[in-house]
Amino acid sequence: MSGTEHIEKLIAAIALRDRKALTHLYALTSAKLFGVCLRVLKDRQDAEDALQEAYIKIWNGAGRYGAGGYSPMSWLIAIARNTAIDKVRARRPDPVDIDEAVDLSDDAPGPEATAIAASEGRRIDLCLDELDARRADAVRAAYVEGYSYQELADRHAVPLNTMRTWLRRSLARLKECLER
Amino acid sequence: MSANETARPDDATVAEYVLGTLPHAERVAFEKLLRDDAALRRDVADWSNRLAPLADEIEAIEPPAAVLANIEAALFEPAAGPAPFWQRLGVWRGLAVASLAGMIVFAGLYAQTLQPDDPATRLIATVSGAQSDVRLAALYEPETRTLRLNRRAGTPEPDRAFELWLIAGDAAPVSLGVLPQSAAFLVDVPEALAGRIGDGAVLAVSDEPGGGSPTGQPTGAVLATGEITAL
Repeated sequence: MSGTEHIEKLIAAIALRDRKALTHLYALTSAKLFGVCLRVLKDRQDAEDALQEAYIKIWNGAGRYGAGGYSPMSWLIAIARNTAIDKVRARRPDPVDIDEAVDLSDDAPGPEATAIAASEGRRIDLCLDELDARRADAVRAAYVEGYSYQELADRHAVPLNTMRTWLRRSLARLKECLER
Repeated sequence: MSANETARPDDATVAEYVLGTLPHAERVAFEKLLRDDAALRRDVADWSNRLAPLADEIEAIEPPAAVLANIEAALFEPAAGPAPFWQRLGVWRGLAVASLAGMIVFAGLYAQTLQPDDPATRLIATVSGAQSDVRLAALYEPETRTLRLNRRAGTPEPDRAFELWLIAGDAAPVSLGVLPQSAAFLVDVPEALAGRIGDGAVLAVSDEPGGGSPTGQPTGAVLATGEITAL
């Protein structure tokens, strides 16, 4: 996909300290990343701060992008989401200690898939459809809205540890489906 | 689960980290492991790629134009030309008796070292407060002990000043100087304080009398705070 390659070239140029490339990348991607920050933070000023921090991290981290194994939009979105989630957790830290061991027999680790192309967006929907609808909803809400386990547990009216077990199992099944 | 904290996180934990649900304390511990574990970073990348299609449903929203200007100011502005020496708070405070010529040479040296070429161990903070409109973006470069600040909003009342503080661990706040009027400025952090600027330390801005706190400790309201994190 040429859009993907274009963004990859811009990241490479940014690694070489090309300021115009940063401006160009910003023009192409800032609306998406602002949307991502806004959904998590639900506050325009906080989202603007997060967006600013994200592009500073992008400028400073571009040199490490190539070795990371990310597809370019995944990398940009991950930086924006992490920045926003760090902010939201600092604002309302997890109120409960949920350090108790989570009862879960984990999936066997399989060989890692390489970067998933954007065209597989439909596949994640198919795989989420294989999950219980409420669990699929919890995975989506955690990703898009940046909800903590406490918030997800409240929304679904289940105990916090139940929610954590749900999500961990759902993520394992999601991976298994995506790699099938 | 403390014995487990040093063990390699399992795959579901990597997924929780990427999803963002990993509880804060575990998230911090995970990020510490991530720094020295390339295989774990790869697992994080794989999960990020796997979940990224979930972002397709998120609506793109145009950010205000000021954000790009702020990013460019934070990254490039000080490098475009040395700030006037009176904006260099550390220099001003530490070398108030030095000659003007000496200052200019000093500023020239800094201008050369301010190019953001080495991303090694930069630190960043957004300083803000719920009760005030004071907002600062801060970027710290350990190599030059330079704290670049960009004031995005907030001005002191007449005859009052904003003072910047570093709070590390349980130690008392240490003043980094009174903020100048300009939007973008630099603080040269004294060598003795540089070691205290690290992940988890906090920058704070307080409201003080005109020349700054008379006591060496914050005397007025703390208007804004922000945690320093590694880039």
